[in-house]
Amino acid sequence: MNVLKFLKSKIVLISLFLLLLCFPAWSWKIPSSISPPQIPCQEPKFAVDSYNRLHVVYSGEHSGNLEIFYSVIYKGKLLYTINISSNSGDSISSSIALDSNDNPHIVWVDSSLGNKDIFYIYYSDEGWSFPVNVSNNPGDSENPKISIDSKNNIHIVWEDNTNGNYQIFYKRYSNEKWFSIKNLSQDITESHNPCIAVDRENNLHIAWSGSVSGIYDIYYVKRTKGKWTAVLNISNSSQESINPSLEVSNGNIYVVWEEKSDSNSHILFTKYSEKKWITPVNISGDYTKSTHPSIAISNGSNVHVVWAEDRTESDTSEENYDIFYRSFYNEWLSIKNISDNSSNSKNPEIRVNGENHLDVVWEDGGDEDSVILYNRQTRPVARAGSDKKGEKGDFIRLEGSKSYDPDGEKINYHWSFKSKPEGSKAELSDPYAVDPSFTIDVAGTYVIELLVDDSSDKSNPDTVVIYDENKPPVAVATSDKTVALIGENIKLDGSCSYDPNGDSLSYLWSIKSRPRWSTAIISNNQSENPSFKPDCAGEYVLQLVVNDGELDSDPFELKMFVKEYAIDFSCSRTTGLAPLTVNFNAQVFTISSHKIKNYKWDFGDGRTGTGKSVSHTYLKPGIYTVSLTVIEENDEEISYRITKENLIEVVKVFPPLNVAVERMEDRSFTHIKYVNKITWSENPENEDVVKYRIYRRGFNQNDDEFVLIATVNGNTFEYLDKEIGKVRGYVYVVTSVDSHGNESSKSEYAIEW
Amino acid sequence: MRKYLFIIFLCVSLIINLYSGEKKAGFYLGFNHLSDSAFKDVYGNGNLIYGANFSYEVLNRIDIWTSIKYFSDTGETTILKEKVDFRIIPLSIGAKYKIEVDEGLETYFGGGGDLYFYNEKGSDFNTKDSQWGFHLQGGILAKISKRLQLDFNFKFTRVKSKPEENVEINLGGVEGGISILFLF
Repeated sequence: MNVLKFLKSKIVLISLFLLLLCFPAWSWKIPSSISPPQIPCQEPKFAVDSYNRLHVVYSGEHSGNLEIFYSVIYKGKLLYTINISSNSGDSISSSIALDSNDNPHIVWVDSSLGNKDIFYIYYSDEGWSFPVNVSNNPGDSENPKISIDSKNNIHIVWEDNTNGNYQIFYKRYSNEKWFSIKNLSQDITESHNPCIAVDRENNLHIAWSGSVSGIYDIYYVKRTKGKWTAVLNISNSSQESINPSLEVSNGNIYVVWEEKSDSNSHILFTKYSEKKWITPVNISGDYTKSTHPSIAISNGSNVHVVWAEDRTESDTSEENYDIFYRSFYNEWLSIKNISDNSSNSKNPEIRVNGENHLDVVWEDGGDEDSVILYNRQTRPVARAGSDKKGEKGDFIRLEGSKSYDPDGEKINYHWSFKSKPEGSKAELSDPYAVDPSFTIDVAGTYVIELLVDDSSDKSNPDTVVIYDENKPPVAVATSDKTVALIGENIKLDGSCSYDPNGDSLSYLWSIKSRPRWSTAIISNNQSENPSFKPDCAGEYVLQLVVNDGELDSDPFELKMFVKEYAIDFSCSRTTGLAPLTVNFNAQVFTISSHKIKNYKWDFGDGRTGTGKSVSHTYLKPGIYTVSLTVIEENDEEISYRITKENLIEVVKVFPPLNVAVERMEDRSFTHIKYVNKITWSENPENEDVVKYRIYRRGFNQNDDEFVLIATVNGNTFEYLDKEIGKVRGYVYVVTSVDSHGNESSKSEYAIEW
Repeated sequence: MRKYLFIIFLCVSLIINLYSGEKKAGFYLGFNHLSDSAFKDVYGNGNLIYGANFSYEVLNRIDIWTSIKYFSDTGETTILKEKVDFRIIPLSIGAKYKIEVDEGLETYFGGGGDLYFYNEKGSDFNTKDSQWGFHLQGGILAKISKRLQLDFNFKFTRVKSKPEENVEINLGGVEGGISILFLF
């Protein structure tokens, strides 16, 4: 009875203690700059790869116009930065996503063709792709966002005013082709600032700010199994709701946005869970200048939100925006200022990395001296040491000394047995020591868990396994380059290799295959981090085998491609009406001391040109392959060639725009017949379209199986397909035909039901 | 099977009708308004309905009655605007309780069951089916001579049917009309 009384009296204290255990008070570091010096940078967006490297894109001023820069950051250090837009127009509003191989895919707004278009580029083993104009329409296309699903399909949304008012357009790349653009906000007068997320089932979730009757609300739509749901108003407020950010996790949808009225703005949060949306809640508190929120979800469905907020009290004082952070662990925790400086901090973005830590980047400073700042929320890391072999009677010493705290604070150790063989009475000598020990009293497998804390933050657990058998080690090799130039120093790294029993490893690197004339060697080939200088162009296969003193690992192969010269070229446009004038510009990357003697162009139409930058006019319609040959100034004439197949398409007539298909019910009282309504719009670049042709094929058929189902006159922009078979769906294409009978390429749309 | 039992029951009622006390037989003309929105989209608000009815008094102030009617309409499908024809033959049986208001003037209310045979024909389909339902009704009986009576009738019917998967319809609705009855 007395015990119960005591517990009742202490229940508040016990609850507080449990809360402290449950809510990690993770700490934020001091922000650091990650953008190159002397380039004013804005609007950062980023993604985190499987090695916890940050891939950041942002716009920066370079030689008088705005370019898109791409930087990679690892452990807070800038590894490298490149200019990926590099053209004569202003490039802004970038967005980035990573595919399953950690390759970056980037979209941005580009004005190099006059109007604003959405450009897309990606990186693969073959280097950076050629930019693709994704929107390719006469209107202004802005604020793109990109997302990639688990099948590496690319999904892009943006706002577009091609139809007069701003609407949300969506386009996807799937099965090695781009699908036609879909308008997601047809019934909404004005739509801006879309955001996109993909869930584990590859369903798409898109939110944006839209206005039907003059007041902006947050609208949401989902694409599941190829079908779009109805557009839903999730803010439903009498105030302006703008700048949404959306994330999905474990079937729940999380959205934050800025609600604005006159001079006040707050951050609102809502969640779709258990088949309903919760009532939006204000998470920014009483302060009235909160803007541009970003949301991320960590393990356990914990919510993390950052936003920019100005807390200067007087209206006359200069504004000073800082970045504020708030999280939800069973309840909303207190708000923290994570930038806390005297300059303006804006446009934050937050992401959760593979270790469940939080990364935040934002733009800091004025228009002319803005930099990209970065902050990471960290916890101590437990390292319980490598797994070991052990037999009955062996004395086992555990090693927790590789545990660390990223902030350098002192850490405490907590060891415990997770499992041990039946009948074992083994005990740890000191569960709170760095290196406790125990004696194996029963043969079998022992699993011991280590947790560390730095008095305020607790680590994730790490385990060590004591086996009663020796297991072969595992070789893992990486390199800083997979594509390199001759003579370039390539750093090899075998440090990710490991032994399940924790034995120390020896390394043996070798060259398994190489180009015929190569005599290159791996320097220091028995070390963990040797280097390699290729001496011939071609493919090399390097091999790493590790040994634990008893057993060899399976060999790990590392492929790399070596080029003498890396040459590339860009062109001002890839398609247009005949006669079409295109500007070509050569780019050469080399570490050779020899100079370039000449550049020779083959334009694919029987004509050639010379010079680093050339202009060529295509007179006849057709698809042309362009080649560039670079000739080195040397005793012997050595040339390097790059060919881009089917690069330029010169047409007499363009395909129609905005092809879309809607499945409709033709209803009588007792019977429903399904019809597909195909709609399209006129391409303003065409001059004399007299008719449109509509083709159709089944979902499982090939492109050469398209069948012409109708021809309509040039003033008609819709067609009803009444002959719907019992199939999974159709792919429709529409072509334009001019008065001379010339037919355009196909503008495609697929529908599934 | 229940459909045939209902028709046999209807026929038996008619035969009893012929051999019972006060009997009434008459012709009916009215307007049938189907309440289903899908019907409205295709055919509009409704159309005329006509038929014959018989009744006899089984107890003081309680009549058993039966009727057979015919309803048809022509419309267009919602998207393709193709011509469609629709027909219903409703068979009904019910009871009504009469209240004398004045000499030669009675009001009544009652209810009963219905069997609807329906058919819709389009360019590439022909739906034929039948369905059970029920009704509630009310009205006024006004004697205009020794052998003639007018029946002002108002009826609410509910007949749910599922002619196709994903298609659910209500053949019933609100109906109002007038009968001229011969007493014998």
